[in-house]
Amino acid sequence: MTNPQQTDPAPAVRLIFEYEGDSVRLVSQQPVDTAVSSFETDATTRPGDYVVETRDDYGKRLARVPAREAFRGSAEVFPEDQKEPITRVDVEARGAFTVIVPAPAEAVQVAVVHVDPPEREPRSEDIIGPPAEVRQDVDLATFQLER
Amino acid sequence: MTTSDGSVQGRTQIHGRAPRNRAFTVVLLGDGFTSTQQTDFNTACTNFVTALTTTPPYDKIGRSLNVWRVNVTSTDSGADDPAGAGGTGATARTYFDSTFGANNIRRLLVCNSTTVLQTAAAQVPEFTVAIVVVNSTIYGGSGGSIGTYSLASGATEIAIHELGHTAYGLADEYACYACTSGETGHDVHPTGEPTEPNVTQNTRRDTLKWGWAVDPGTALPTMSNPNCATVDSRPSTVPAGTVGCFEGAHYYHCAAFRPEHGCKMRNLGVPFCQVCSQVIRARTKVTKNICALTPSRNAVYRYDGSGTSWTKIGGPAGQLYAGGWGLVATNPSSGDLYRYLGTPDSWQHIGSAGAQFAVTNDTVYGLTPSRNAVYRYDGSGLAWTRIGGPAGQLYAGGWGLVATNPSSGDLYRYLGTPDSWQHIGSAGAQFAVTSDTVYGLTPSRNAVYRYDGSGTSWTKIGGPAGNLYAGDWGRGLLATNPSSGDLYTYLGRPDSWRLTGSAGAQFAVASDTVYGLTPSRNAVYRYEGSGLAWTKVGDAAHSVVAGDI
Ligand SMILES: [Zn+2]
Repeated sequence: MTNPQQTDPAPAVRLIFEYEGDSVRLVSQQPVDTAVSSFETDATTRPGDYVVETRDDYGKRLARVPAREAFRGSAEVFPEDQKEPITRVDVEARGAFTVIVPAPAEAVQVAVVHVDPPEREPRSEDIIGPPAEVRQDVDLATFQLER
Repeated sequence: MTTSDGSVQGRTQIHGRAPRNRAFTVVLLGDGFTSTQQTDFNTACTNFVTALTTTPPYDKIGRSLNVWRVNVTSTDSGADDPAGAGGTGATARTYFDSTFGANNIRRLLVCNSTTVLQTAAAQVPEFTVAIVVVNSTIYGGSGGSIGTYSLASGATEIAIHELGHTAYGLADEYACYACTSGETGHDVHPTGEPTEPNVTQNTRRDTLKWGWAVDPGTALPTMSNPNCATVDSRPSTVPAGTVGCFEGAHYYHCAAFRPEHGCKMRNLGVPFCQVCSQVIRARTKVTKNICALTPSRNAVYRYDGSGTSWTKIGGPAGQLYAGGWGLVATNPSSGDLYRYLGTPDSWQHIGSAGAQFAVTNDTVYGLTPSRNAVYRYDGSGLAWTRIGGPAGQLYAGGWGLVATNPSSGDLYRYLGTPDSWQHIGSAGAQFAVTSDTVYGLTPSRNAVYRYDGSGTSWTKIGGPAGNLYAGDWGRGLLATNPSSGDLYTYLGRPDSWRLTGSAGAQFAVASDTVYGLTPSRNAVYRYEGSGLAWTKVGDAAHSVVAGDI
């Protein structure tokens, strides 16, 4: 087994954000004793997704977790008769969300990021190989971590 | 109407036994319950736990799931119910400001999500997902970053569907958006593979993201929508539970596919499909799930869950055993048994040497060195209880413990109290226990059988096999081909198996996928779930085991 020694568990921070449209505000940050699942830190993201990143002093990304259900401009409406379909309705994109991010000592900043927003030309699905190393993500806001 | 309209009373854990820092944690918060109505909230929470834990796959998830309730009093009972949305016009001063009638739709029940998240974080800092239970019998609920639901009959289904989005990243599998008749703009899904694990545009068998669950005999696509102007509302043309590609998903009538005809991510009141179930099983286990013993057996490593990163968690070991209860290892010289406590190099001596050990969701069982008695670990110190006489082999899993009679080879199931065993089958070359039953290989290894759950009734589910491997992933069972050694995944129906990989020295079935040791034991590989794709995740190992580690 290959193994660099590792401290366990790594520190983590819970962040709570409020958003309205694409504007976002950090409401609270709180250290939390919990393992951040690799289900979160390894989640694949696609253009249009929203994520929260931790970054070091140089702005380099350390970890990224999905901000599921955040910035969503629709709400689900559930039928009382379960044979009827569940439907969606457009709503104002406004609310709050929370994530827990791994926060090693070098993490000094968090950013709420809109991944490769869809305004641009979509990349062809047929292109094989890694995407060009062009940063296409948009930072909606960045915040300092209180350490 | 603000937090001045009530107060937070405190938190109570109502389900689960997972260590708090390694648990999937649901927090239920009450709104519109006055100080004298808190027992109503408590009852609603109990009902939620019952609804959740009887919904597959949560019924077999075991100890990873913790549920807490946070009691919050409100000045008034109920929630706002605006007349403009067809409600009674009632208003209620409540802590989280719950109101029906959002967007003029009475059933759309929303509240102040910032206050909900802040309250949940203050009370149960490690929570995974927060759900607000609103004290009203009007039907309603909503999803998003938090879930809400009312006390109306069937509304817990809303919360369970919403958990699918918030906690597991599952997509909606329904094939329309507003779903009005004549809906436009939702005929054909735009090009671009969705991120979510349960919807796709790709129906190629060798690259399908849920390819692991598809029988080679199932057509792909399995059902195509003949008219993209509308939702295909035909009943399924294949037996219920068939996994394939069914057209119509992710808000579009065509060009997006879902894994089964029915799923709780498509309609309330029906089970989750196999693909969503697998995502839920894998995610709900926050613990790591694979360990390896080095080739010289001088150290135990735990896989960190991604890349090729492993953490050394212990020194020399003779043998590893793992399961839902955790990981145990024998001391290579004394044979004494040690339990891993969850942090590297932290192990507890729990017993003396045995001929064999087996781990269930609840504890570890051992066979004495002379195989003349079976013991159960009591859970603390070095205390064990004798639960049975002589046995040949022990096999354990989420379903429980089984043992063979040392002379006849007959199979017995332990019923939970000392010396209480039920004869459930005759001798076999090998057995394997999953979360819901036990599988056996005939003495000549010419057929695989599944125990039906009562008496001594078994059903043949496959032909000749070399070895059986059981665990949490998928339907729980894999088997090797007796001549080639190739690995096959059982798909839940007799004779429905799928080639999953080539031969290996040993396999371990975890909650997320299956891991294998190469024939020469020089590397550990992980199955990627699609086609025959495996990824190297570690170097040489003596053995690998899977469990909640
Ligand atoms: Zn599904």
